[in-house]
Amino acid sequence: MISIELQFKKALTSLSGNRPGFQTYQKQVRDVVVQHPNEQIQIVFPDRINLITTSFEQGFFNDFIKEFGIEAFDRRIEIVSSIPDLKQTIHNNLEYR
Amino acid sequence: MQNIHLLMAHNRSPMPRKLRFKKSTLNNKSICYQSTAAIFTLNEFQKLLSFVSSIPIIVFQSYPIIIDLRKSNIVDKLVYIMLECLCYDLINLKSCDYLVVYVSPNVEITTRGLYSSSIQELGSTSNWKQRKQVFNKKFWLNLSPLKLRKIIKQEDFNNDCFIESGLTQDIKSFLQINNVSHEYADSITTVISELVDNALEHSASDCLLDIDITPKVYKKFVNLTDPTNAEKKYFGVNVVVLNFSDVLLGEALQEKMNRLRFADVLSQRYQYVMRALNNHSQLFSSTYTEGDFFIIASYQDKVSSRSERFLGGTGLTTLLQTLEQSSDAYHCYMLTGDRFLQFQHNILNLKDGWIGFNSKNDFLNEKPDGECFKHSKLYFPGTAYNLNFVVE
Repeated sequence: MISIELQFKKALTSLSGNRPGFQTYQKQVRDVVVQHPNEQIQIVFPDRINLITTSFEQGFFNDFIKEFGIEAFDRRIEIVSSIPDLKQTIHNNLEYR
Repeated sequence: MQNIHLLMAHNRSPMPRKLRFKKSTLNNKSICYQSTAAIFTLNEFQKLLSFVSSIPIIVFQSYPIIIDLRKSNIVDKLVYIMLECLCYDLINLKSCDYLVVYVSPNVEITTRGLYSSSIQELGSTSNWKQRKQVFNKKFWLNLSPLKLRKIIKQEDFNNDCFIESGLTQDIKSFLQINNVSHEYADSITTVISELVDNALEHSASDCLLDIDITPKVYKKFVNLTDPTNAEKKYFGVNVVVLNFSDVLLGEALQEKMNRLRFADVLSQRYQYVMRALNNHSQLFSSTYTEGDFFIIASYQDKVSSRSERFLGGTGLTTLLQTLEQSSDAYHCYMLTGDRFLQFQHNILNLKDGWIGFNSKNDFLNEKPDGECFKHSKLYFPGTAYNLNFVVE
Protein backbone atom coordinates (compact mmCIF):
# COMPACT_ATOMS: atom_id res chain seq x y z
CA MET A 1 0.00 0.00 0.00
CA ILE A 2 1.20 3.49 -0.85
CA SER A 3 0.26 6.25 1.57
CA ILE A 4 -0.23 9.87 0.45
CA GLU A 5 -0.53 12.52 3.14
CA LEU A 6 -2.38 15.42 1.59
CA GLN A 7 -0.95 18.87 2.16
CA PHE A 8 -3.11 21.97 2.65
CA LYS A 9 -2.52 25.43 4.11
CA LYS A 10 -2.20 25.03 7.88
CA ALA A 11 -5.12 27.37 8.54
CA LEU A 12 -7.61 25.26 6.58
CA THR A 13 -9.97 22.99 8.52
CA SER A 14 -12.65 22.62 5.80
CA LEU A 15 -12.44 21.64 2.14
CA SER A 16 -15.02 22.82 -0.37
CA GLY A 17 -15.43 23.25 -4.11
CA ASN A 18 -15.11 21.05 -7.17
CA ARG A 19 -12.13 22.92 -8.60
CA PRO A 20 -9.86 22.72 -5.51
CA GLY A 21 -10.75 19.04 -5.17
CA PHE A 22 -9.77 18.43 -8.77
CA GLN A 23 -6.52 20.38 -8.45
CA THR A 24 -5.52 18.62 -5.22
CA TYR A 25 -5.88 15.23 -6.87
CA GLN A 26 -3.96 16.36 -9.96
CA LYS A 27 -1.08 17.82 -7.96
CA GLN A 28 -0.74 15.35 -5.10
CA VAL A 29 -2.28 11.99 -6.04
CA ARG A 30 -2.70 11.35 -9.74
CA ASP A 31 0.92 10.55 -10.62
CA VAL A 32 1.13 7.97 -7.84
CA VAL A 33 -2.11 6.30 -8.93
CA VAL A 34 -1.00 6.13 -12.56
CA GLN A 35 2.53 4.92 -11.81
CA HIS A 36 1.30 2.19 -9.44
CA PRO A 37 -1.82 0.80 -11.14
CA ASN A 38 -1.97 -2.35 -9.07
CA GLU A 39 -1.24 -0.91 -5.66
CA GLN A 40 -3.69 0.04 -2.96
CA ILE A 41 -3.57 3.77 -2.26
CA GLN A 42 -4.08 5.24 1.19
CA ILE A 43 -5.17 8.90 1.11
CA VAL A 44 -4.61 10.66 4.39
CA PHE A 45 -6.44 13.89 5.16
CA PRO A 46 -4.88 15.96 7.96
CA ASP A 47 -6.66 15.45 11.28
CA ARG A 48 -7.57 19.12 11.47
CA ILE A 49 -9.82 18.76 8.38
CA ASN A 50 -13.26 18.31 9.94
CA LEU A 51 -15.58 19.06 7.03
CA ILE A 52 -15.35 18.08 3.36
CA THR A 53 -18.20 19.03 1.06
CA THR A 54 -19.62 16.87 -1.69
CA SER A 55 -18.32 19.15 -4.44
CA PHE A 56 -14.73 18.75 -3.18
CA GLU A 57 -15.10 14.96 -3.02
CA GLN A 58 -16.47 14.84 -6.54
CA GLY A 59 -13.77 17.12 -7.92
CA PHE A 60 -11.05 15.15 -6.13
CA PHE A 61 -12.08 11.74 -7.38
CA ASN A 62 -13.31 12.90 -10.78
CA ASP A 63 -10.38 11.59 -12.83
CA PHE A 64 -9.99 8.42 -10.78
CA ILE A 65 -13.61 7.41 -11.36
CA LYS A 66 -13.49 8.30 -15.04
CA GLU A 67 -10.35 6.21 -15.54
CA PHE A 68 -10.88 3.27 -13.22
CA GLY A 69 -14.52 3.23 -12.10
CA ILE A 70 -16.30 3.04 -8.77
CA GLU A 71 -15.32 -0.59 -8.20
CA ALA A 72 -11.65 0.39 -8.29
CA PHE A 73 -12.40 3.15 -5.78
CA ASP A 74 -13.92 0.58 -3.42
CA ARG A 75 -11.08 -1.87 -3.94
CA ARG A 76 -7.97 0.29 -4.19
CA ILE A 77 -8.62 3.41 -2.14
CA GLU A 78 -8.36 3.67 1.63
CA ILE A 79 -9.29 6.96 3.28
CA VAL A 80 -7.78 8.10 6.58
CA SER A 81 -9.52 11.06 8.16
CA SER A 82 -10.86 12.37 11.45
CA ILE A 83 -14.28 12.51 9.73
CA PRO A 84 -16.17 9.30 10.54
CA ASP A 85 -17.17 7.00 7.65
CA LEU A 86 -15.67 9.35 5.08
CA LYS A 87 -15.01 6.63 2.50
CA GLN A 88 -18.65 5.49 2.58
CA THR A 89 -19.85 9.10 2.29
CA ILE A 90 -17.58 9.68 -0.70
CA HIS A 91 -18.76 6.44 -2.31
CA ASN A 92 -22.40 7.62 -1.99
CA ASN A 93 -21.57 11.00 -3.51
CA LEU A 94 -19.71 9.83 -6.60
CA GLU A 95 -21.47 9.57 -9.94
CA TYR A 96 -21.95 6.15 -11.44
CA ARG A 97 -21.34 5.38 -15.13
CA MET B 1 -21.10 44.18 -6.97
CA GLN B 2 -21.18 42.69 -10.44
CA ASN B 3 -24.42 43.04 -12.42
CA ILE B 4 -26.35 44.54 -9.50
CA HIS B 5 -27.84 47.06 -11.96
CA LEU B 6 -29.75 44.18 -13.60
CA LEU B 7 -32.24 44.11 -10.70
CA MET B 8 -33.70 47.47 -11.65
CA ALA B 9 -33.09 46.97 -15.36
CA HIS B 10 -35.27 43.85 -15.47
CA ASN B 11 -38.10 45.29 -13.40
CA ARG B 12 -38.73 48.54 -15.24
CA SER B 13 -42.16 50.01 -15.31
CA PRO B 14 -43.67 49.38 -18.75
CA MET B 15 -45.23 52.85 -18.81
CA PRO B 16 -43.46 56.09 -17.93
CA ARG B 17 -44.78 57.53 -14.68
CA LYS B 18 -45.69 61.04 -13.84
CA LEU B 19 -43.42 61.91 -10.99
CA ARG B 20 -44.84 63.72 -8.05
CA PHE B 21 -42.68 65.76 -5.83
CA LYS B 22 -43.38 65.90 -2.14
CA LYS B 23 -42.23 68.45 0.27
CA SER B 24 -39.87 67.07 2.82
CA THR B 25 -37.71 68.33 5.62
CA LEU B 26 -34.63 67.60 3.56
CA ASN B 27 -34.70 69.91 0.70
CA ASN B 28 -38.21 71.18 0.27
CA LYS B 29 -38.67 68.74 -2.60
CA SER B 30 -38.08 65.00 -2.74
CA ILE B 31 -39.28 61.85 -4.48
CA CYS B 32 -41.11 59.66 -2.03
CA TYR B 33 -42.30 56.08 -2.25
CA GLN B 34 -44.49 54.92 0.60
CA SER B 35 -45.73 51.37 0.96
CA THR B 36 -49.10 50.93 2.63
CA ALA B 37 -49.22 47.15 2.29
CA ALA B 38 -49.42 45.34 5.64
CA ILE B 39 -46.79 42.86 4.46
CA PHE B 40 -43.96 43.93 2.18
CA THR B 41 -43.74 40.88 -0.05
CA LEU B 42 -41.77 40.07 -3.19
CA ASN B 43 -44.62 41.58 -5.23
CA GLU B 44 -44.53 44.76 -3.15
CA PHE B 45 -40.78 44.97 -3.68
CA GLN B 46 -41.35 44.58 -7.41
CA LYS B 47 -43.70 47.62 -7.28
CA LEU B 48 -40.99 49.61 -5.54
CA LEU B 49 -38.45 48.56 -8.19
CA SER B 50 -40.87 49.47 -10.94
CA PHE B 51 -41.39 52.91 -9.41
CA VAL B 52 -37.72 53.59 -8.85
CA SER B 53 -36.72 52.39 -12.31
CA SER B 54 -39.06 54.94 -13.87
CA ILE B 55 -37.14 57.85 -12.32
CA PRO B 56 -34.69 59.46 -14.74
CA ILE B 57 -31.10 59.38 -13.51
CA ILE B 58 -30.87 63.17 -13.63
CA VAL B 59 -33.63 63.27 -11.03
CA PHE B 60 -31.76 60.84 -8.75
CA GLN B 61 -28.78 63.11 -8.91
CA SER B 62 -30.77 66.25 -8.13
CA TYR B 63 -33.42 65.32 -5.57
CA PRO B 64 -33.55 63.25 -2.39
CA ILE B 65 -35.25 59.88 -2.63
CA ILE B 66 -37.27 58.65 0.34
CA ILE B 67 -38.41 55.05 0.61
CA ASP B 68 -40.87 54.74 3.47
CA LEU B 69 -41.78 51.20 4.52
CA ARG B 70 -42.75 51.98 8.11
CA LYS B 71 -46.32 50.84 7.61
CA SER B 72 -45.26 47.47 6.19
CA ASN B 73 -43.67 44.43 7.80
CA ILE B 74 -41.01 42.93 5.56
CA VAL B 75 -41.98 39.34 4.80
CA ASP B 76 -38.58 37.63 4.79
CA LYS B 77 -34.82 38.03 4.64
CA LEU B 78 -34.44 37.96 0.86
CA VAL B 79 -36.74 40.95 0.48
CA TYR B 80 -34.67 43.20 2.73
CA ILE B 81 -31.41 41.94 1.24
CA MET B 82 -32.73 42.88 -2.21
CA LEU B 83 -33.71 46.25 -0.75
CA GLU B 84 -30.07 46.66 0.33
CA CYS B 85 -29.01 45.81 -3.24
CA LEU B 86 -31.39 48.39 -4.66
CA CYS B 87 -29.99 51.02 -2.29
CA TYR B 88 -26.44 50.07 -3.25
CA ASP B 89 -27.32 50.52 -6.91
CA LEU B 90 -28.98 53.89 -6.27
CA ILE B 91 -26.09 55.22 -4.19
CA ASN B 92 -23.14 53.93 -6.16
CA LEU B 93 -24.25 53.39 -9.75
CA LYS B 94 -27.05 55.91 -10.10
CA SER B 95 -25.18 58.51 -7.98
CA CYS B 96 -28.26 59.23 -5.96
CA ASP B 97 -28.01 62.68 -4.41
CA TYR B 98 -29.58 61.64 -1.14
CA LEU B 99 -31.34 58.46 -0.08
CA VAL B 100 -33.38 57.83 3.04
CA VAL B 101 -34.97 54.47 3.81
CA TYR B 102 -37.37 53.96 6.69
CA VAL B 103 -38.28 50.42 7.70
CA SER B 104 -40.69 49.10 10.28
CA PRO B 105 -39.14 48.08 13.62
CA ASN B 106 -41.50 45.07 13.71
CA VAL B 107 -39.59 41.89 12.91
CA GLU B 108 -40.26 38.17 13.11
CA ILE B 109 -37.84 35.34 13.79
CA THR B 110 -37.09 35.19 10.04
CA THR B 111 -36.42 38.92 9.65
CA ARG B 112 -34.63 39.74 12.88
CA GLY B 113 -31.46 40.25 10.87
CA LEU B 114 -33.02 43.51 9.68
CA TYR B 115 -31.78 45.07 12.93
CA SER B 116 -28.18 44.68 11.74
CA SER B 117 -28.84 45.35 8.06
CA SER B 118 -26.88 48.07 6.29
CA ILE B 119 -30.27 49.65 5.53
CA GLN B 120 -30.39 50.93 9.11
CA GLU B 121 -27.62 53.36 8.14
CA LEU B 122 -30.03 55.04 5.73
CA GLY B 123 -32.80 55.67 8.25
CA SER B 124 -31.72 59.16 9.19
CA THR B 125 -31.50 62.52 7.48
CA SER B 126 -28.21 63.66 9.00
CA ASN B 127 -24.55 63.04 8.09
CA TRP B 128 -25.33 61.68 4.64
CA LYS B 129 -21.69 61.27 3.56
CA GLN B 130 -20.75 59.31 6.65
CA ARG B 131 -23.87 57.18 6.52
CA LYS B 132 -23.23 56.40 2.86
CA GLN B 133 -19.71 55.23 3.72
CA VAL B 134 -20.88 53.03 6.56
CA PHE B 135 -23.68 51.61 4.42
CA ASN B 136 -21.22 50.67 1.67
CA LYS B 137 -18.81 49.13 4.13
CA LYS B 138 -21.51 47.01 5.76
CA PHE B 139 -22.95 46.07 2.40
CA TRP B 140 -19.70 44.36 1.44
CA LEU B 141 -18.64 42.97 4.78
CA ASN B 142 -20.43 42.84 8.10
CA LEU B 143 -19.29 40.50 10.83
CA SER B 144 -20.74 40.46 14.31
CA PRO B 145 -21.57 37.77 16.86
CA LEU B 146 -24.95 37.10 15.26
CA LYS B 147 -24.25 38.04 11.66
CA LEU B 148 -21.99 36.92 8.86
CA ARG B 149 -22.18 38.96 5.70
CA LYS B 150 -19.70 38.63 2.84
CA ILE B 151 -19.61 39.29 -0.85
CA ILE B 152 -17.27 36.91 -2.61
CA LYS B 153 -15.89 38.49 -5.72
CA GLN B 154 -15.64 36.41 -8.86
CA GLU B 155 -12.16 37.80 -9.40
CA ASP B 156 -11.00 36.50 -6.00
CA PHE B 157 -12.63 33.13 -6.71
CA ASN B 158 -10.68 32.90 -9.95
CA ASN B 159 -7.39 33.80 -8.26
CA ASP B 160 -7.62 31.62 -5.17
CA CYS B 161 -8.63 28.02 -5.58
CA PHE B 162 -9.27 27.55 -1.87
CA ILE B 163 -11.32 30.64 -1.17
CA GLU B 164 -14.44 28.51 -0.86
CA SER B 165 -12.76 26.31 1.73
CA GLY B 166 -11.89 29.36 3.80
CA LEU B 167 -15.48 30.56 3.59
CA THR B 168 -16.80 27.12 4.55
CA GLN B 169 -14.63 27.22 7.61
CA ASP B 170 -15.85 30.70 8.55
CA ILE B 171 -19.47 29.61 8.23
CA LYS B 172 -18.96 26.52 10.37
CA SER B 173 -17.10 28.47 13.05
CA PHE B 174 -19.78 31.16 13.06
CA LEU B 175 -22.52 28.59 13.59
CA GLN B 176 -20.65 26.74 16.32
CA ILE B 177 -19.85 29.95 18.20
CA ASN B 178 -23.61 30.47 18.28
CA ASN B 179 -24.11 27.03 19.85
CA VAL B 180 -25.61 25.39 16.78
CA SER B 181 -25.13 21.65 17.27
CA HIS B 182 -22.21 20.02 15.48
CA GLU B 183 -24.30 17.92 13.08
CA TYR B 184 -26.70 20.73 12.27
CA ALA B 185 -23.80 23.15 11.73
CA ASP B 186 -22.19 20.67 9.31
CA SER B 187 -25.43 20.30 7.34
CA ILE B 188 -26.16 24.03 7.08
CA THR B 189 -22.52 24.77 6.26
CA THR B 190 -22.54 22.19 3.49
CA VAL B 191 -25.76 23.56 1.98
CA ILE B 192 -24.51 27.13 2.02
CA SER B 193 -21.08 26.18 0.66
CA GLU B 194 -22.58 24.27 -2.23
CA LEU B 195 -24.89 27.16 -3.09
CA VAL B 196 -22.00 29.63 -3.05
CA ASP B 197 -19.82 27.27 -5.10
CA ASN B 198 -22.60 26.87 -7.68
CA ALA B 199 -23.13 30.62 -7.89
CA LEU B 200 -19.45 31.41 -8.40
CA GLU B 201 -18.74 28.58 -10.78
CA HIS B 202 -21.81 28.61 -13.00
CA SER B 203 -22.85 32.25 -13.08
CA ALA B 204 -19.36 33.79 -13.34
CA SER B 205 -20.50 36.59 -11.06
CA ASP B 206 -19.97 37.88 -7.50
CA CYS B 207 -21.89 36.03 -4.80
CA LEU B 208 -23.57 37.66 -1.78
CA LEU B 209 -23.90 35.60 1.39
CA ASP B 210 -25.74 36.80 4.49
CA ILE B 211 -26.39 34.66 7.56
CA ASP B 212 -28.00 35.84 10.76
CA ILE B 213 -28.81 33.89 13.89
CA THR B 214 -31.43 35.09 16.32
CA PRO B 215 -31.21 34.87 20.08
CA LYS B 216 -32.95 31.81 21.53
CA VAL B 217 -35.93 33.75 22.82
CA TYR B 218 -38.82 32.73 20.61
CA LYS B 219 -41.70 30.55 21.73
CA LYS B 220 -44.24 28.75 19.60
CA PHE B 221 -47.71 30.19 19.91
CA VAL B 222 -49.30 26.74 19.95
CA ASN B 223 -47.07 25.70 22.85
CA LEU B 224 -48.27 28.45 25.15
CA THR B 225 -51.31 26.41 26.21
CA ASP B 226 -49.35 23.17 26.52
CA PRO B 227 -47.66 22.95 29.96
CA THR B 228 -45.06 20.42 28.82
CA ASN B 229 -43.86 22.60 25.97
CA ALA B 230 -44.69 26.11 27.15
CA GLU B 231 -41.12 26.90 28.16
CA LYS B 232 -39.50 25.60 24.98
CA LYS B 233 -37.53 28.26 23.20
CA TYR B 234 -36.37 28.47 19.63
CA PHE B 235 -33.87 30.39 17.57
CA GLY B 236 -33.70 31.13 13.86
CA VAL B 237 -30.94 30.56 11.34
CA ASN B 238 -31.63 32.80 8.34
CA VAL B 239 -29.61 32.63 5.13
CA VAL B 240 -29.59 34.41 1.80
CA VAL B 241 -27.29 33.43 -1.06
CA LEU B 242 -27.63 35.37 -4.28
CA ASN B 243 -25.84 36.42 -7.42
CA PHE B 244 -26.78 38.74 -10.25
CA SER B 245 -26.17 37.37 -13.69
CA ASP B 246 -27.61 37.02 -17.17
CA VAL B 247 -27.31 33.26 -16.63
CA LEU B 248 -30.36 31.78 -14.90
CA LEU B 249 -30.55 28.48 -13.06
CA GLY B 250 -31.09 25.59 -15.44
CA GLU B 251 -29.76 27.29 -18.57
CA ALA B 252 -26.28 25.77 -18.35
CA LEU B 253 -27.76 22.28 -17.88
CA GLN B 254 -30.11 22.87 -20.80
CA GLU B 255 -27.14 23.73 -23.01
CA LYS B 256 -25.24 20.69 -21.82
CA MET B 257 -28.18 18.36 -22.51
CA ASN B 258 -28.62 19.86 -25.98
CA ARG B 259 -24.99 18.95 -26.69
CA LEU B 260 -25.40 15.48 -25.18
CA ARG B 261 -28.39 14.66 -27.40
CA PHE B 262 -25.90 13.68 -30.06
CA ALA B 263 -23.41 11.91 -27.80
CA ASP B 264 -22.66 8.26 -28.48
CA VAL B 265 -22.33 7.33 -24.84
CA LEU B 266 -24.46 8.80 -22.10
CA SER B 267 -24.38 7.88 -18.43
CA GLN B 268 -27.48 6.23 -16.99
CA ARG B 269 -28.25 9.33 -14.99
CA TYR B 270 -28.36 11.58 -18.05
CA GLN B 271 -30.25 8.99 -20.09
CA TYR B 272 -32.94 9.19 -17.43
CA VAL B 273 -32.99 12.98 -17.64
CA MET B 274 -33.41 12.70 -21.42
CA ARG B 275 -36.33 10.30 -20.96
CA ALA B 276 -37.91 12.64 -18.43
CA LEU B 277 -37.45 15.56 -20.82
CA ASN B 278 -39.21 13.64 -23.59
CA ASN B 279 -42.11 12.83 -21.26
CA HIS B 280 -42.34 16.35 -19.90
CA SER B 281 -42.30 17.87 -23.37
CA GLN B 282 -45.87 16.53 -23.73
CA LEU B 283 -46.80 18.73 -20.77
CA PHE B 284 -45.12 21.98 -21.84
CA SER B 285 -47.37 25.02 -22.00
CA SER B 286 -47.27 28.75 -21.37
CA THR B 287 -47.07 28.01 -17.64
CA TYR B 288 -44.60 25.12 -17.71
CA THR B 289 -41.72 25.35 -20.18
CA GLU B 290 -38.57 23.47 -21.12
CA GLY B 291 -36.61 26.03 -19.11
CA ASP B 292 -38.68 25.10 -16.06
CA PHE B 293 -37.89 21.42 -16.58
CA PHE B 294 -34.19 22.18 -16.47
CA ILE B 295 -34.56 24.14 -13.25
CA ILE B 296 -36.01 21.03 -11.62
CA ALA B 297 -33.43 18.81 -13.29
CA SER B 298 -30.64 20.98 -11.86
CA TYR B 299 -31.61 19.90 -8.37
CA GLN B 300 -31.38 16.19 -9.05
CA ASP B 301 -28.62 14.30 -7.31
CA LYS B 302 -25.56 13.72 -9.50
CA VAL B 303 -26.89 15.85 -12.38
CA SER B 304 -24.63 18.75 -13.19
CA SER B 305 -24.14 21.40 -15.82
CA ARG B 306 -20.38 20.82 -15.72
CA SER B 307 -18.97 19.28 -18.87
CA GLU B 308 -19.15 15.53 -19.18
CA ARG B 309 -15.47 15.46 -18.21
CA PHE B 310 -16.41 16.29 -14.65
CA LEU B 311 -18.45 14.55 -12.04
CA GLY B 312 -20.91 16.76 -10.27
CA GLY B 313 -24.36 17.38 -8.87
CA THR B 314 -24.51 17.63 -5.11
CA GLY B 315 -28.15 16.85 -4.53
CA LEU B 316 -28.97 20.10 -2.86
CA THR B 317 -32.46 18.99 -2.15
CA THR B 318 -31.21 15.97 -0.24
CA LEU B 319 -29.27 18.31 1.96
CA LEU B 320 -32.27 20.57 2.40
CA GLN B 321 -34.39 17.61 3.31
CA THR B 322 -31.91 16.69 6.02
CA LEU B 323 -32.10 20.19 7.42
CA GLU B 324 -35.85 20.24 7.20
CA GLN B 325 -36.05 17.03 9.21
CA SER B 326 -33.82 18.54 11.86
CA SER B 327 -35.65 21.86 12.03
CA ASP B 328 -38.81 22.63 13.85
CA ALA B 329 -39.97 24.80 10.98
CA TYR B 330 -38.52 26.02 7.78
CA HIS B 331 -39.22 28.39 4.91
CA CYS B 332 -36.94 27.92 1.92
CA TYR B 333 -37.34 29.08 -1.63
CA MET B 334 -35.42 30.01 -4.75
CA LEU B 335 -35.92 32.73 -7.33
CA THR B 336 -34.42 32.72 -10.80
CA GLY B 337 -35.74 34.95 -13.55
CA ASP B 338 -39.51 34.97 -13.13
CA ARG B 339 -39.61 31.49 -11.59
CA PHE B 340 -40.27 30.87 -7.91
CA LEU B 341 -39.60 27.45 -6.38
CA GLN B 342 -40.59 26.73 -2.79
CA PHE B 343 -38.83 23.79 -1.14
CA GLN B 344 -41.84 22.34 0.68
CA HIS B 345 -41.11 19.11 2.53
CA ASN B 346 -43.91 17.11 0.87
CA ILE B 347 -42.40 17.57 -2.61
CA LEU B 348 -38.78 16.82 -1.73
CA ASN B 349 -39.10 13.08 -1.23
CA LEU B 350 -36.67 10.86 -3.09
CA LYS B 351 -38.19 8.09 -5.22
CA ASP B 352 -35.74 5.78 -6.97
CA GLY B 353 -33.09 8.47 -6.50
CA TRP B 354 -35.10 11.28 -8.10
CA ILE B 355 -37.09 14.19 -6.68
CA GLY B 356 -40.38 14.92 -8.43
CA PHE B 357 -41.22 18.29 -6.88
CA ASN B 358 -44.80 17.03 -6.97
CA SER B 359 -47.12 15.15 -4.61
CA LYS B 360 -46.60 11.92 -6.59
CA ASN B 361 -42.79 12.14 -6.16
CA ASP B 362 -42.52 11.38 -9.87
CA PHE B 363 -39.74 13.20 -11.77
CA LEU B 364 -39.96 10.99 -14.87
CA ASN B 365 -43.58 11.61 -15.81
CA GLU B 366 -45.12 14.43 -13.76
CA LYS B 367 -44.49 18.14 -13.85
CA PRO B 368 -43.78 20.04 -10.62
CA ASP B 369 -46.63 21.00 -8.34
CA GLY B 370 -48.02 24.38 -9.35
CA GLU B 371 -48.33 25.49 -5.72
CA CYS B 372 -44.58 25.19 -5.22
CA PHE B 373 -43.25 26.15 -8.61
CA LYS B 374 -44.78 29.24 -10.10
CA HIS B 375 -44.46 32.53 -11.87
CA SER B 376 -43.02 35.50 -10.00
CA LYS B 377 -43.95 39.08 -10.85
CA LEU B 378 -40.54 40.07 -9.59
CA TYR B 379 -37.87 39.17 -12.10
CA PHE B 380 -34.65 38.13 -10.38
CA PRO B 381 -31.70 38.38 -12.79
CA GLY B 382 -29.56 35.52 -11.52
CA THR B 383 -30.36 33.11 -8.70
CA ALA B 384 -31.39 33.88 -5.13
CA TYR B 385 -32.05 31.60 -2.19
CA ASN B 386 -33.96 32.42 0.98
CA LEU B 387 -33.45 29.79 3.68
CA ASN B 388 -35.05 30.19 7.10
CA PHE B 389 -34.74 27.47 9.72
CA VAL B 390 -36.30 27.48 13.17
CA VAL B 391 -34.42 25.30 15.62
CA GLU B 392 -35.10 24.26 19.19
